[in-house]
Amino acid sequence: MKGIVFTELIEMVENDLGIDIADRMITGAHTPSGGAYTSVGTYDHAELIRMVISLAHETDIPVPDLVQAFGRHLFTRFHELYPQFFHDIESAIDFLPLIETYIHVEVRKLYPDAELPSFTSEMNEGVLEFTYSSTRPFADLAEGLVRACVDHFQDAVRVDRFDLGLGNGTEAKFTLAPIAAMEPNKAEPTCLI
Amino acid sequence: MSDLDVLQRKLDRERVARKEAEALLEKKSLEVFHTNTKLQLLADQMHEHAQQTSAIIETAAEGIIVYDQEGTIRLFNRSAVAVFEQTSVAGMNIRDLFETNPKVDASLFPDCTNPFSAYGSGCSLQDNRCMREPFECVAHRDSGQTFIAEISTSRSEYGGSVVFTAMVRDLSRRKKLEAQLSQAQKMESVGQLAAGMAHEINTPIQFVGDNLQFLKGAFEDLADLLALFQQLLDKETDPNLDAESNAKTQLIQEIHKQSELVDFPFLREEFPSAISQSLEGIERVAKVVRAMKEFSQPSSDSKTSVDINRTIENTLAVMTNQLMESARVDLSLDRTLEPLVCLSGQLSQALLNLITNAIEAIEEHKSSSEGLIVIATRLHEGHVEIRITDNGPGIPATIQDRIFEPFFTTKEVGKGSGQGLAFVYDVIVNKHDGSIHAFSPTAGGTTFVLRLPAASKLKTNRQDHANSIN
Repeated sequence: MKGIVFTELIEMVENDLGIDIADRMITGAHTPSGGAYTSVGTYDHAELIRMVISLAHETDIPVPDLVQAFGRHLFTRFHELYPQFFHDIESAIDFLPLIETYIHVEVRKLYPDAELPSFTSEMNEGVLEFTYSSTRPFADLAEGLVRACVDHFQDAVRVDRFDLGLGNGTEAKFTLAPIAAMEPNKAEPTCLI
Repeated sequence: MSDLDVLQRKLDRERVARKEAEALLEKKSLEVFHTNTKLQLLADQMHEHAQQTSAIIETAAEGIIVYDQEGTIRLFNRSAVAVFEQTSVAGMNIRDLFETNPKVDASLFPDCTNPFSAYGSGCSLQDNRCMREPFECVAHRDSGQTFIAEISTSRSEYGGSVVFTAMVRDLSRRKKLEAQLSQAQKMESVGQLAAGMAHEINTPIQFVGDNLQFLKGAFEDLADLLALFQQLLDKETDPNLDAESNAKTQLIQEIHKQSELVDFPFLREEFPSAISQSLEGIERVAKVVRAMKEFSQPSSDSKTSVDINRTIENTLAVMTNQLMESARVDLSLDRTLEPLVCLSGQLSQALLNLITNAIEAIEEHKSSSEGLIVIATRLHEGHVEIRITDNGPGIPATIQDRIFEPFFTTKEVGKGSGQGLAFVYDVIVNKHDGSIHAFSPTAGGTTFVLRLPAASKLKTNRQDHANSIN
């Protein structure tokens, strides 16, 4: 897993919960890297899981909630770091299919060894079916990213998640269905507190 | 735990991360260096390759022209410069170099993706390149002189743009040599036929001579008799007739005697026969000479209207002696056939080659009494069909697909040139848009079926001329 995910997690915890909680999260995780990450490095994804579990222990917040919140944070950061991917895109339904067909293609150019999750997109009568599939159990992270994306574009869509496969977070389908009444979008808070 | 301890640990982690990032940067820098080295090597190789390609293109014997979809010329190699005598092609269009018509235009810009093009046939995809089979057309030199060129074109896509490549070969010299070869081949055939021709002419000349000798001898006898008649006439007009009566009686007796010597009844019967036979003999000689003259006419570049049945008969006439020794010929000619527009000299040569092949096949495997060649003509679906069948051994299955190849022969070294059937194929298929098929059943015998577009059905499109053998 690319180091940016680790550095962003630590930065998020430092900013939202304080440097002390971040230190305890790292210390309690007992990771081989000792919490020293560089965004361009590559690390075992198990270290991220250990850190999230450690953070859950420190904050009493369930792991899925933490991972989803981290997904929302990541989306915001990606938007700041890589604005070129969002150019001329006006909705999540337009953006999400591009993750597999455009963004991942560009990522592989820079990091040929990157082990990226796969996303399939299918439109059925105006409903986008966006399916996450990975060897790693980060469906919650994907959900956070998808919901943050919908919030970002202020789409009038309802997002539903359906766990697939063994239900262990390695496979999930997200449906983005337009809300007929065009209700104001109820965005979830992105901060942890 | 104090804030200082927390910050110290964070600093330690940041330091480790920085060192890791630096190591990574160094590793990546090294990778970039190696990649650059490889790229430089590759660039050098590509440069060298480009130079080699350029040298090959520039020294190629054929003219190579590259042009875009509009026809604007982008590359014109040295041979192309020599062929077209063009000093500068800046701004020139490929169409400026040829006598274009819709068919030539379609051939210069082949497009396999357009099967509905009226002239789209003749191209095929090879290694993702649309290749057009070679075609001939009239080209212009800078001086305005025209020449026949053979062109192979292909279509390629580079970087999203379409480019066409034309390989141009000046056929002027080849056409001239072909004409010379064709004429030489014909003269060779004529030479081979000369002995037979001599026999053909000698036989009638012989009996014409005998008849004339007979007429000469008979006339000498008659001349004596005529002299006696003249004397008798002179006596009839003499005023002293009575005095001369004895002499007159004596003259009449002499006439009777001479008449018996001349044998009038015999002469009355034989004279017309001798004259008629002589006239027939002269006609036979005239016919052979006429056929030979028509057969040996130099090849003409232009097609003329000919009676194909007469062409067949002329060809047989010059081969009479050969045929007499080997095979009987049965003719089944459709006398209602319309004239055929063709290169008559070349067609005669092609027929002669096929009949010679039939004779040789029969001679090699059968006794002369059994040899039979059947030649038939008919109109078939807008084509004049000529069938030449022999009862020779047939064509072995192992060589059936090669018989029309140039220089392919089954004859022993020094005997066959392997040009006979290749010449026939070229004349029938390439020069007349016709077709030729050979049928050779396992039981033996061979039938060559030639189909040539009838004058009323002439098309510019080339026939599907599969060289098929059943």
